[in-house]
Amino acid sequence: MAASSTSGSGRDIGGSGGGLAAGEMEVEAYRRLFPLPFYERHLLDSVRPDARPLHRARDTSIALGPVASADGSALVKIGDTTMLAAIKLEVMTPSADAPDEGSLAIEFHMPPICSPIVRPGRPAEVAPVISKQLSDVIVSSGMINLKELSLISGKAAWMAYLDIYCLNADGSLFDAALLSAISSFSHLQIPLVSLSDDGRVVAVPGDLLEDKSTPELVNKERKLLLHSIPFSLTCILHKKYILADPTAEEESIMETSITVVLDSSERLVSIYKPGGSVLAHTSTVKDCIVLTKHRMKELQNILEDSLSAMEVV
Amino acid sequence: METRLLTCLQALVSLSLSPLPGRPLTRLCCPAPTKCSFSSHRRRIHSSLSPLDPRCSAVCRSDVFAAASCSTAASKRTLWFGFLFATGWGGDLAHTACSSPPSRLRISLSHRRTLVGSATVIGEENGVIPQANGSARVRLGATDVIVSIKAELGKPHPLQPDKGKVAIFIDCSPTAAPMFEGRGGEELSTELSFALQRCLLGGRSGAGAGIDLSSLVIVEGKVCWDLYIDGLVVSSDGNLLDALAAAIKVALSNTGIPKVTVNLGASPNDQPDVDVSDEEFLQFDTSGVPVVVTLTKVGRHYIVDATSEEESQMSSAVSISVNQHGHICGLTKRGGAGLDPSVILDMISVAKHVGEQLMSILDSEIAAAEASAEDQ
Amino acid sequence: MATNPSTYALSQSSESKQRLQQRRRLFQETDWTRSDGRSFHQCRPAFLRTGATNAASGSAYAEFGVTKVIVSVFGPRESKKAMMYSGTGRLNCNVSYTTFSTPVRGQGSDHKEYSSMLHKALEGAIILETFPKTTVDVFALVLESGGGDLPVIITCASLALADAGIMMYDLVASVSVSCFGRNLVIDPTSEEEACQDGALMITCMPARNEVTQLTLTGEWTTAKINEAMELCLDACSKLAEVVRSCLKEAASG
Repeated sequence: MAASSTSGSGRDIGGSGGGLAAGEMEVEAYRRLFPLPFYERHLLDSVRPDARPLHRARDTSIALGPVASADGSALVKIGDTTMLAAIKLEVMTPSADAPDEGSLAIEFHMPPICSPIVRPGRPAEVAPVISKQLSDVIVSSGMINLKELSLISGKAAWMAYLDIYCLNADGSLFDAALLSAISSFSHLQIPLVSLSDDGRVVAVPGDLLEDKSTPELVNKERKLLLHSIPFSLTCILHKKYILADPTAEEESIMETSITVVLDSSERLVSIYKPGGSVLAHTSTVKDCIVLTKHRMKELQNILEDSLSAMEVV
Repeated sequence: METRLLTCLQALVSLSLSPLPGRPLTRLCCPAPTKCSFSSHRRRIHSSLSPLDPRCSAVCRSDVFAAASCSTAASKRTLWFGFLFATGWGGDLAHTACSSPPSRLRISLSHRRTLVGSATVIGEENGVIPQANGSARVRLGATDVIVSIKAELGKPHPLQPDKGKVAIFIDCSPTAAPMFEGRGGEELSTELSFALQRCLLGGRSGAGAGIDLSSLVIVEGKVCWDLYIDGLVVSSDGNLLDALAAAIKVALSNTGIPKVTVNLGASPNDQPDVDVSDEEFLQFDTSGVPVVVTLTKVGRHYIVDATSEEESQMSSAVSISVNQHGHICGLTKRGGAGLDPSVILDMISVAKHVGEQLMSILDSEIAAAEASAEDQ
Repeated sequence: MATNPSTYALSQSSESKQRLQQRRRLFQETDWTRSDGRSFHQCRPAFLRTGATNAASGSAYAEFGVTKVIVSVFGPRESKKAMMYSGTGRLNCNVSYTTFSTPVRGQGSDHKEYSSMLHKALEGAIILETFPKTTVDVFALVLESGGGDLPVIITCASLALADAGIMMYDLVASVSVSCFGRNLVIDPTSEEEACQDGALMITCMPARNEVTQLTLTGEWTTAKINEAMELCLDACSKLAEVVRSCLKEAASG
């Protein structure tokens, strides 16, 4: 809401002083009472209440490493939607049918702080849905080679627990969650480990690396190699309009959404259109894919910038 | 109606009168021998206890003892304490007429120690061990609580290999008060459990713990005793925390922990074999277990051992646990209203005074009951 | 995705366990330096900001050293259906932890004890009569736990309540102090908390000089309590000033 009051589009038409305040009140009331006509009036002028053109996503930022106690973490903001993702690595015994593979456990949480609809003990319905979508996309995109998570074949491998917390839910939750997930994987620093006498894997503190008495290291690579990173864009379909990166308000008023996931070599990973009143033409779907391509380039740049910024520091 | 009750209570409290109908203050002061039931390991015996203290007078009912006393303060005002005794003190409390309608403290030490051989299996290699139970029931007026203690073999926490573990769970029976019906008692139950943990288990490093956790260790880092302290509020008429803490102290005093013999395994990594004796028991040292004194603020005064009726009108209450050295071992505040820091410090000094005497009486009570149990 | 339950976190090697023992011994001495270079009576630098979650009526983010907390306030809104009529407003508090907030991955569940402590610390400061029949929800999420979590949650919650425009008698500030042997150490880190002999936490309304919540663990003499309370109350009033200036900044900016 705060963002929309500063926007210059459409609604700040009134004069100055008291007249403006009264005008603002009426616009705000109209927006609440007749949200759909309010939006349609904007769409006619190809602009959205927050002054965005229909196809533009909100400002996006990525901050890497906000959680010091995690092995990899990222804070992602798309407009006001905020996601905090963190990866903790634990050691497991790999299963018999895949002795040289690690494993991923991805969970998406919507704590009560993020939205008025979530209350303690009554979790949001969308949280498990997004969890499932995320792990499907990350696994099927082949971004992570699970073999890289192996430590000792058949004996020990990494289990990567990725937990994503939504701190502020303002639409396009999946996009923000996926972006935070891939950002935290690119920030992931794998700890150097050795094998202790009793067969457990233990961490080797940095200051002991030079020490000759330190047992031999099990792993050497500290970074995961990420292949074909998936990026996504959610669009709202309403009549003939396509609204990219919707806010929570837009999602609540116009119900049909479509989420496209492309990987960095422009291959389609997933399309998700969960019903809704608008039946999309193939041309609309194509348009969405084109929008996602543009968005992917944008996100790639943002991610690269934040990674290089981290290296400089 | 509520405001009327409050003003009425305040007026009565400042006049040192009991607001409870049918409980005039004088009726409690009939000296008589106290009786207390106490049973040793497997036998049940009854013993008589003489009045606790020359200054204290006691009331007797068949299986019950209650005590109250009065003394005159410098201000020539009679001060009443609900808990077993009363003491007066001088001008430092001029702004707080510390008086309360005495409710009767009834303690029955029900020492039913049953050896449940097949009840619990601890760890696969240790097989079946007998379980020792200690228990106590404390009544304060209409407040009635039961505490039982179970000792089981467990493994010390990896970060604290030289300490045993104690878990305190309190359950408020739905029949104890109308507000406990359904899930109403849950919040209070957890609150009481946490408050007792804070009062009895000391700081993180184990300093100042009422229950000496290092005495529960059998083999460092490998085997220790886990004490499960389960409290049940049977009937609630205020002052639950004090009653529960007293019951835990009494229950601990007759908890026998089976003697164990340890056969260390061949390699240091093996879990050692532990042989639990079902004949010999080690008595638990409870001298360090603190007592809890709750001071309830009603209007401008604060009172000890408040009933439900009085608690309904309280602005806040401070529960302070005091150990045998007169040190404060834990403190919790309840109730919304804020307190001036100086009032809190004053309450602490009052609680120290009250707690020390309650402690000595409880201790001598336990000792006397134990002594008479051994005589039999 | 099926999570494999038989995983374990990297355990500290034996050297670091020895270090822990050393640190314990060190804390018992009369003079030692804190790992972050503070003096015993110096608090961590506090960073507070309002408006962390715009879907809420009010919210705040607090960062005290490593400890990071977000608190959102919702309401006053309709009470739960099962609730009886109440002439005064209700306060509902919940504290939860993220799974990665602690060094070893936890379950990230609700923290019942802290929820009830937060409730007790705040209820005395809020003018509940101003929102009859309705409920104000205060939800806290600990993003990273680095010691003194509860005092940070309480202080942050009071800022969030002010941001939501809930009427209060005064801002609430909370500070804890740890006791090591003869030393009192204010605003402890989790490393220090793990070895402390005792702890005292005060929540107060500095302008009214009223204590809304006080908890104490470990063995204390009265003189020590006196000293610790003075130390905390002084720190509370300073912290309240930081909170106030944060509110002023938010209002002017």
